[in-house]
Amino acid sequence: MIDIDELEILTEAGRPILDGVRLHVGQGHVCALVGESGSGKTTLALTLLGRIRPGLRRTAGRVKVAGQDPFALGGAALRAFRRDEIAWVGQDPALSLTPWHTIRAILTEAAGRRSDDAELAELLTRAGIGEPGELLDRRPGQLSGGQRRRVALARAMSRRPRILVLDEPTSGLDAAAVDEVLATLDGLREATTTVILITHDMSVAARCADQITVLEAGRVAETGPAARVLGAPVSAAARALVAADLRRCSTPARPACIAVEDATGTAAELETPRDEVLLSLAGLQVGIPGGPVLADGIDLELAAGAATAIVGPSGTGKTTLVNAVVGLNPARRGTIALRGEILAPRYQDRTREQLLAVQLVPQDPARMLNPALTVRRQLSRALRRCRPGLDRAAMRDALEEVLDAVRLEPMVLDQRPPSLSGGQSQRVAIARALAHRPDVLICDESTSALDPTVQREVLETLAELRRSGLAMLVVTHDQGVAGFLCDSVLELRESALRRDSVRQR
Amino acid sequence: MLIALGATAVAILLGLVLGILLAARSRVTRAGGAVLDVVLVIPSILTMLVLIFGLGGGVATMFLITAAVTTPFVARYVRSLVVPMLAGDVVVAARLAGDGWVRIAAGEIVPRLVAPLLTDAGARFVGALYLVASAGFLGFNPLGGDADWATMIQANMDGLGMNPWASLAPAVAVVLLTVSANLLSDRWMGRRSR
Repeated sequence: MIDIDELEILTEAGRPILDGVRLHVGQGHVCALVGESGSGKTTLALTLLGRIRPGLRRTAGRVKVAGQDPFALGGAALRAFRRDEIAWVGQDPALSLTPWHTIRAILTEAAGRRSDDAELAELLTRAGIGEPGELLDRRPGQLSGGQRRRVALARAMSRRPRILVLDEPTSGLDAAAVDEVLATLDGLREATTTVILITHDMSVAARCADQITVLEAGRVAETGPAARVLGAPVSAAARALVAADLRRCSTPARPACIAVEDATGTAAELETPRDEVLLSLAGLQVGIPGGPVLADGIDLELAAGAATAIVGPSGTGKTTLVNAVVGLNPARRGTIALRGEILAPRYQDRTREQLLAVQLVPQDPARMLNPALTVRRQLSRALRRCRPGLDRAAMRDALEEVLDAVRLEPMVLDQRPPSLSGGQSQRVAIARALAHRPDVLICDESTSALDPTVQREVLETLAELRRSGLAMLVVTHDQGVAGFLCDSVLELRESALRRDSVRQR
Repeated sequence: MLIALGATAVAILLGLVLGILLAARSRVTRAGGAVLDVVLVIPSILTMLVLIFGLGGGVATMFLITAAVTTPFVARYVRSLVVPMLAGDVVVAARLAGDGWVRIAAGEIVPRLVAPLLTDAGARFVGALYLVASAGFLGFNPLGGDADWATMIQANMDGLGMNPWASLAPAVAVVLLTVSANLLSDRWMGRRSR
């Protein structure tokens, strides 16, 4: 169904984005295109639709999709090809739903001919939506995130294209949502639909791909049946990606601090190598200001070197909780104590030392960095806050040290945040937090936008910092991150609260 | 022309400070913002005529008038830029690190205003030039001589049929100046953001 041979795409300046790429996918197969960001996955997938991004040019190679060469088509023929033969779903499919159309209009627009409600309802049922009838009159804004994703996928499949291309369908989603997406996909596709799945998550590839093609810097590092690539990767790139899949991680990374909860709900510390409790929360109640209570009765003790993961589906109050700890969104009840000292609920009432001791790396760290200042300026400012007397030489060393801690190259120092990649800006944000020499570091989904290998590196660095006494609260919906880095888990569920204990090392 | 340039620069500095101050949320600033909006509605030529009438002509007056008329525009623009910044993550992160408001204003907010203000400066400069030129054209002759373009345009209007270029040349010069000033500031902004 898909035959790509010796494809070469260069930038205007001559730098290769894709170099001699060969890809063959048979009809009805699911092919996962895996690779780090920048490896050319999206560029390769776009060629299937006959599209090359502006600024790039195709210099060699043949592309054949469903017996046609998309680059040889033009005008109406190309549009017909893109409508009937192939469908593309972008990373956040909900964004492709026009907000002021009803769902019926959205689906009919894609399906083309006049479809009656029964047909649309059947399509939505295949997509896993429970009561499709009443959904047809609503608008995207009135649906939940999961429902929007299903509708977007249903829309793509409504014309029954022969090929479906998905660009990072599960990135940024929690485990339950990932399951949902994959189930929707199963329901919608037919035996003859060929699926190209772009992802950097090997576990997703493992679950649904027949064939895995690993791209590295524009070249195909490895390709073959999924089981073989996952079980016995040959190329360095494939090995790195498989190893970075945190679920398969077996190397322990931290000192053991085990808390066991028995049936009556009391916690008994089994073994604590360090007993200085840095942060303790007692009976904390948090909620949205002016809104309902999201979580109540939260008790937590964080010793030096310990890390607790805060997990739970979206909307259960994880971010609200960490905002309360930091003082942005004052807790309604309960106390927060740092090294035994009770902290004021509002950050405006805390001292500077108290503020610097608990640092938060927020959910979208790029927004936290000032776009008009260079990284050097921002990090120096952060360093000066707790060490005001640093001279030139000492500052240079301190900058080097803090960049090293997050595995960043010194050349980012003279760049401004808008020119950094997502992973780089996330690391700069973590570096800034670390420059304040905090006792407690709170990471709110801080590694979600990183490539698997970079994420692994950053997590390993954080694990190392734990050894030197840093305590961490890690909000995450990725079980792999929680398992890798943390030794206890605080699980927030719908409206109840459950403290969970976790594996020993 | 120098009047316009100088007055624009002063207006930008004053407008920057005023805009940042008005961005804080309080009853006083809300009232101040309302006053600002009213001032903006008054046509600048009207303000200029009234002030020239009261203060007399001359370079200093013209400078004062131009700066006074341009400042509210800059202040309003700055205020609209700063208000969302105050709620944004950059300022929140600085507050969570214990920074005071003055330090945040100088260190985090002002650097982000440089680019938009320089772009706006182009438009403000055109406005200021227009004001000075109008004063000259209406006969107030602020510079006390006939060396500025606006006075030249006005003075030579009578002889337009005989020598159109006497009026057209300075008009073209004004256009070239304003267009190139704007292009320059845009180019400079583009390079800076890369």
